[in-house]
Amino acid sequence: MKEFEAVIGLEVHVQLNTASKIFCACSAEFGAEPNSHVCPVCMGFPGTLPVLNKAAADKAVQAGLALGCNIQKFSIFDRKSYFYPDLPKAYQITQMFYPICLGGFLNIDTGNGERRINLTRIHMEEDAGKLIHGEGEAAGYSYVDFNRASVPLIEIVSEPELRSAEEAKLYLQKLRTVLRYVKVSDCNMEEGSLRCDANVSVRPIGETKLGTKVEIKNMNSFRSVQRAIEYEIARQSEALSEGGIVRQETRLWDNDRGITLPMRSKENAHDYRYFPDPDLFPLKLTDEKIERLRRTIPELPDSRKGRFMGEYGLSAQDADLLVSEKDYADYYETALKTHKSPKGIANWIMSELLRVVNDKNLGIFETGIPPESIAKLVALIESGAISGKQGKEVFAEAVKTGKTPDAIVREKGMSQLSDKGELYGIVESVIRENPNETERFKNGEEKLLGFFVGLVMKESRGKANPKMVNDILKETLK
Amino acid sequence: MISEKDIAYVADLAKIKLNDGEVKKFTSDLNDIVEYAAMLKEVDVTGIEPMYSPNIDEGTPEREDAVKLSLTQSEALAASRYVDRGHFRVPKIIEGQ
Amino acid sequence: MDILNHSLASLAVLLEKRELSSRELVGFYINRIERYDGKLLAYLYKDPEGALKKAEDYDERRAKGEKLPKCAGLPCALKDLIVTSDMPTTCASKMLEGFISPFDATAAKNMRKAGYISLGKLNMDQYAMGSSGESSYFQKTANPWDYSRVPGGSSSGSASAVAARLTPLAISSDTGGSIRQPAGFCGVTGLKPTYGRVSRFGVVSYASSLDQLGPITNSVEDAAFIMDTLGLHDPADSTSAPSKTDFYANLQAAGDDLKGVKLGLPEGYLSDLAPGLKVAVENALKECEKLGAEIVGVDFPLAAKGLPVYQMIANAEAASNLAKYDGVKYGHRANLPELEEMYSVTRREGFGPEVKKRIILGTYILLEGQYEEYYRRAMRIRRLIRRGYDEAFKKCDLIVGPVSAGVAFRFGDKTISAMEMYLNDLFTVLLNLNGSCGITVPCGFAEDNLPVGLQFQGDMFAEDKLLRIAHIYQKTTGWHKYIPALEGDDR
Repeated sequence: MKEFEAVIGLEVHVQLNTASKIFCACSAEFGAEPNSHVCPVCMGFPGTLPVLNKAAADKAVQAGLALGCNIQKFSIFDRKSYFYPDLPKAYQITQMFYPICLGGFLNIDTGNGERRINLTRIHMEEDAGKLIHGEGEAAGYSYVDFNRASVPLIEIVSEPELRSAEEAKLYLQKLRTVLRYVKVSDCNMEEGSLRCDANVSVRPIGETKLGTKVEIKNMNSFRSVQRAIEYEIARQSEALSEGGIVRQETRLWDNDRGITLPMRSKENAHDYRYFPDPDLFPLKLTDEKIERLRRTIPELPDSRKGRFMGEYGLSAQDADLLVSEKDYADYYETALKTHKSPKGIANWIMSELLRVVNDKNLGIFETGIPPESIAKLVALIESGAISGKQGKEVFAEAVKTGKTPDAIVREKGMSQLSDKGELYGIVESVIRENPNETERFKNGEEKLLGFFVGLVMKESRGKANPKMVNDILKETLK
Repeated sequence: MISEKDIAYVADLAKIKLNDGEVKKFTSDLNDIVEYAAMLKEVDVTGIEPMYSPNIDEGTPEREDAVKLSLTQSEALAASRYVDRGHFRVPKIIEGQ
Repeated sequence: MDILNHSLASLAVLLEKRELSSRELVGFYINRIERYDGKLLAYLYKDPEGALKKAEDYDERRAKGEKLPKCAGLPCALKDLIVTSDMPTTCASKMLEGFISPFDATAAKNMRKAGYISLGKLNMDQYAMGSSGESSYFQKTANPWDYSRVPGGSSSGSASAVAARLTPLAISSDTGGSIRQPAGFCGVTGLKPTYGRVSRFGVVSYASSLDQLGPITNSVEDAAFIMDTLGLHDPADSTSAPSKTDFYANLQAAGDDLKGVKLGLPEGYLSDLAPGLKVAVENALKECEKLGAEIVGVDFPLAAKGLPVYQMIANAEAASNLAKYDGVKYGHRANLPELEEMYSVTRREGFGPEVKKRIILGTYILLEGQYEEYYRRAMRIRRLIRRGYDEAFKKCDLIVGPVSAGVAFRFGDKTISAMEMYLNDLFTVLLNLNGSCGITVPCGFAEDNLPVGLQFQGDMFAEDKLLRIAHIYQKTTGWHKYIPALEGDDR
């Protein structure tokens, strides 16, 4: 069997997190009663006209800046015409000929090092409404809800430079991370604020011509994107190696069955009759505005990861985890301001705090433990004021009550006994009260050290600093 | 020349059902118009940018991102007779049609 | 009191001074509508009770000494493509038969805020497509000067109703001459303001880059008066220009002569005109010269290309604008169980033949393989046409000429060939392509006592100059004072 390689390009639709829709003032919020976030404009009533939402345009530019695109100072909104019940005007306002961003790129970390995936373009457009298909008695009908109609989207189109399903997944995850850094979208695949179509073709290794492209739709999670592409690569490779052909078509991913199926459609390809929307003038951006938006772009994950490794000595893996969400990285660096222990704090965030974040599905800033507290906790442990075991107790209490580590330690009387004089006193009284064991120890029975440590800890009601107790015992019993 | 097949294709895109007589008539009418429009090809438009709108050299205005309440559900549905449980009802759509 | 002798401004003053009640004024027009519209068929929807109630309400409030808006109690009527939530808006189509908009057009809102009372909605060519009024789904409005003739289009009901004094003013729209041509056919004044001057929000779109609202009135003075209300900036229309509300004030300083005014007459503009119409236009030019204007020749190199350019643009935009009528959200629906059938039968039944033809043509022009050669090329030539206007306005203040090649034709006369019908737009469409302002004023009568219109065309946002010159011509000649004899039912 011949070896095949895959050529994959992704078209990602991202819902911008504006308050209102792109061309009217209706709420863009997800999950309202059907047809309750609508107005004559987004429902395509006669006589209505679009007016561009400033925040949508700004966020499209911010996304472009974060992805290294060329921001276009002149872009045009076009109409894309087709009939479908969820498309109220029977055309979608999009940007076909002059999109707002050209070029750009995204670096992904593959197993074999970093790869740069180039972008073709980013354009702005409006979303369509939602269709529900009737069942049972209503099986002959579909139902239309226009709440989502005209919610702002950007479509990010990659060059066909991805070579595997794994790379496609990495690309999508990285895209999500970057877009969340610049806060233009929640990028929630389940709620549909991030949607991905994949163009997949295969060709024999060594071949430079592209194979026939199949578009896959209807993938609703990162996992399904990966699975669908894997399936499609296998399907196409198999077809070709058996001497068959790959038809140019659109296929839908069936997540339950784990296969792609051809979409029922008419033979003739759609002619969308694009032309500039005469109800909107071109979107013009000044250098000043682009610069102003550029200044809002925070340090991005690639750069931040490098800095975390260089400045704080973190491993690539740890740095990756901490920069995977801007909030994680922000939290981390805020904590470092209180107590500069890069590795200690990183470990506590990664092992304890993120567990709480994931278990309770909270933001990292919402766990009840502010960055100052985690820093303080690490400081208490590192100074020997409390033990590591006590630290975990304090942490659990802080999650439960929201109290500061200092307060918890104080209330529980937890702080370690580290006073040398006091410890010497306890040690001496223990030795005095146990002459037999003392004799045996001195005669070489060194395992009895544990017996003495236990007694000292008991005497101090668990507060004695165990390391100091060890040292003092050894010295005194010599 | 625009053929009857072209007209049938366009009518399908425009979602207007035409009978054979109408296809014939529109084919003839459109050929007249397009023939007349052939004179546009004589005009030298080298280097001329399209003027999509009279005030096209303006930039599009932008509105602040503020939500304004508009229609209630019942107002939104009021102009259609084909509504059901807060939705517009349409003939069944086969997914991916 | 002879209401018909008063301008809108003067009626407003009479109302203000309580020398005339709104009840009387509105009642006067309602009586005329009741008497004459049965044969004229200008109105698609009338609301006499509602109008009288509003009139009485204003009268009462005025009697109490309340401060009322400046036009409180003046009647008006709207072309049936301006959506309102208090009356149906049909665009004279089966598609929108009985349709009630959930909102009011900005123009309608501004009129109401200024105190105008709407008498009803006026007939038109279906979706504003036509130049005779004959494509209305509901009825054919007659020309009050000769009931066997068309009033022109697409604002058939507007021009006819204003000429017959069934309303003192109508708010209409002009995409390729739809205000100016019927104004000429009916002997009234029709202003097409500059693109962007009047909000298009709530005006059912025909061709978005050409459509513009404007008034049809009995005088230039009235047109200026109403423009103060219509000329407000609208944030809901991305193509809306900044507010301007001093049209009427500026007209007061118009003066009495046209000294120093240069009127441009394009080469060949007076050939191929119907004989009587030609005489009337030539006399009008002489009149302007007598008033001190200089007639200068101007070049309009691409004038002949205007019509095909217009057809490409108007039909392409129309095909797209009319796609929203799919039976899903409002309007006519063929209740069929299969989606494709539902769409294509709904649109087959809902649109008249002219509308269907234009949608088919417009769809064809926008096909991927045709777009560059037709639509985009037309838009590039459009820029050359703009340059032609720019050059012309370096040599003259306004362009002057006829508004149509002939007078109002008989019903059925022009339905023979598509081309012939489109030729009627020849004198008007260039101005819409350029986007600037123009006005038709009556300039006499041709054979069979049919009125003739004189058209002035101005530069972008040059309404003040346009209105001033048209006003001086009008008040000197007085052609606007002739009122047609109406065929009433003699009760």
